[in-house]
Parts: sequence; structure tokens; C-alpha cells
Amino acid sequence: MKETININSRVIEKCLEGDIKAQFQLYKQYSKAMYNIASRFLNNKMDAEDILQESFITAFNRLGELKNRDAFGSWLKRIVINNCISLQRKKKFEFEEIDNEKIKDEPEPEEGLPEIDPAIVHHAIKELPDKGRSILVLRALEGYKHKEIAEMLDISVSTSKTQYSRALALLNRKLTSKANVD
Amino acid sequence: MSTDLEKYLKHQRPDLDVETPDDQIIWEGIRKDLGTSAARTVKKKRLIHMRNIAAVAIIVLSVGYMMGDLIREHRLNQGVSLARIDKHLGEREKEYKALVDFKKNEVGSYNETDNIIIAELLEEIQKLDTIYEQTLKDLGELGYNEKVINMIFDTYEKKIYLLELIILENNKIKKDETDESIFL
Repeated sequence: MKETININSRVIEKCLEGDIKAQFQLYKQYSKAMYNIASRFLNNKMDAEDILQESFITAFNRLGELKNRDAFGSWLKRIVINNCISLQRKKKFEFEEIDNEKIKDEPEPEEGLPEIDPAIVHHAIKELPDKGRSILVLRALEGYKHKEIAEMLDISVSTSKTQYSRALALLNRKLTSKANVD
Repeated sequence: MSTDLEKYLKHQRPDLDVETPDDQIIWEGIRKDLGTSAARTVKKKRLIHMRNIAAVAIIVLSVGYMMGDLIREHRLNQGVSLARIDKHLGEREKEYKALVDFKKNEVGSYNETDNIIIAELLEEIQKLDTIYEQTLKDLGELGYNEKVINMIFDTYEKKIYLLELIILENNKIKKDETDESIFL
């Protein structure tokens, strides 16, 4: 881990000097993870690709502002998430909330979680309604607190908590349903 | 149950990144954009570099001009002067000199500017000074000569006119800078 951090620091130094190879190295290192965040967040391949490109351009242009080079990954992730939220706002996403009715439509989950392919989980997350999906991605996968999510999405903390637990329940049912089919 | 799922998501987080972006297209877009902004930066750096060179040239010219002025003053004090030929001419020259000094003081407070027009005007003044020195030599050789005396006063008038142009240019620069700061 420490080795990776040191390598990153050196690569960032080169990026600041305008070294295109170093920029590509950094891109390759983070592109997949960032793309998947955007893809889960937006559930749209083209939008996710646009966000990925835009976020890397922003990051390279503002690299000089990054105080802690070891935190490049989290800094880039924040840029990606902010860009995703901005795009959702631009597109005036009508956030579809998850109500209890939607959860009832899915079968009751069994005790414990069945052995399941991560790809299925990834796609099941993308099937969730917009608002719940954004909150679930931010909370369960990216580790943000409800207070931070509420500020980012301009919603109340209680809405964040409610939508999160409903999104989690709905995802659980979806996964159980998929496991039963298989 | 949700707790199990939360644990699963946390534990399996890296494995959930199953999609692969189209690196070729995305990187090409990034590279093009960075290339454009890099070009903009290089252009900006070149402009700053040229500006610095111009600034250094102006400083060298200004210093050269001031040094030349001092040397000339020293020579004049020892050599020929209009006052030695005629008292009235000497007084007239004194007035011109006072006006030149006054204008030079006004220019002096702005002389750090890196304006190309000012550089050219300073060069013209240096040429006038050379002409003035040559005319004084002629005066020493020829003695009282109306044509030579008129030429001496003519160089004073031209010098005053050029100094006024520098002051005007400086004022224009100051005004532009103020306008820019208002807009900013």
C-alpha cells in the first residue's frame, strides 16, 4: 500500500510536469473503478463515459490544487461523484423514490445471503430506482455518511436514511429472486 | 438481512467493478483536451517570456539613457555652452533644461513599464541627445551661428515633445490597468 502511494506520488509529480505517459498511467490505474462508480450512479453507459472523461480532465487540470497526493484516489472519486450529481441535476432527474409497495413486489429474502456473482449484484444495483440507487452507492459502496449524502444530494438526513434502507431491502429481494431463478 | 447485504457489499466492493470503459475513446478525448490546454499554457508562457525580455530591454534602455544623460551633463559643464556665447541664449537654454528635467522626473516615476511604444520614444530621445552633442561641438568650432543655435533649441523642443508622449502613453497604461481591475 505504502509502495503504491509512493509510486502515485512520483506519477503525480510527472503529471504536474505535463508528462502524458504519467497521465495515461494514472488514468489506467483509476479508470475502471471510477467508470463503475459513474455507471452504477447514472445507469447509462454513455453518460458514465462522459463523466469519466470530464472528471479526468478536471483532475489533471487541477492537480496542482491537490494538497495530499496520497489521497488522489478519493479526490478523483469525489470529482466523479460531484460530476454525476451535477449531470443528474442538469438532466433534471425526477428522482423516483422507493416506497414499500415496490419492496413488496419482490419475493421475501431467505435467511442469509446466497452465494452470488458480483456482476449480478452490480447490475441489480443499476436496476434500483434513481434516488435510492444514488444513496445506496454513496453509503454502502463509497462509505459516505448520511449527513454528507444529504448535503450532496440536497435532501434531508432522514430521507437519506429511509431511502437507503428501502434501497437495501429492494436490492436484497432482487438478489434473492435472481438466486432463486438460477 | 440488510446487515448481511451491507457486509457483503463492503466485503465484495472491489469485485463489483465489473464493467470496463472504452479506454481508447475516453483517453483520446482526455488527451485532446489536455493537449489544447497545454498549448494554451505554452502560449501564455511564451507571452510572459517575451514580455520579460521586453521589460529587460526597457530597463537597459532607461538605465543607458540616464547614464548617458549624466555623462552629457558632465561634459557640458566642462565644454561649450550657449551661456558662454550669449547671456540671453544661456537663460533661454536654462528654461528649456528646467522643463526637460521636470518632464523627465514625471517620466521617471513610470519608467518600469514594458511598453514597446515607450521603448521607441526613449530611443528617439537618445538620438536627439547625440544630435545635441554634435551640434554643441559644431558651436564650439564655429562660434556664434544662428543655424546651429536654432538646431540646439529645436532638439530641446523635440525632446520635450517626446517626453510628453511618454507621459501620455504611461497615463494610458495606468488608465487601462484601472479599467481592467474594475472589470475584474
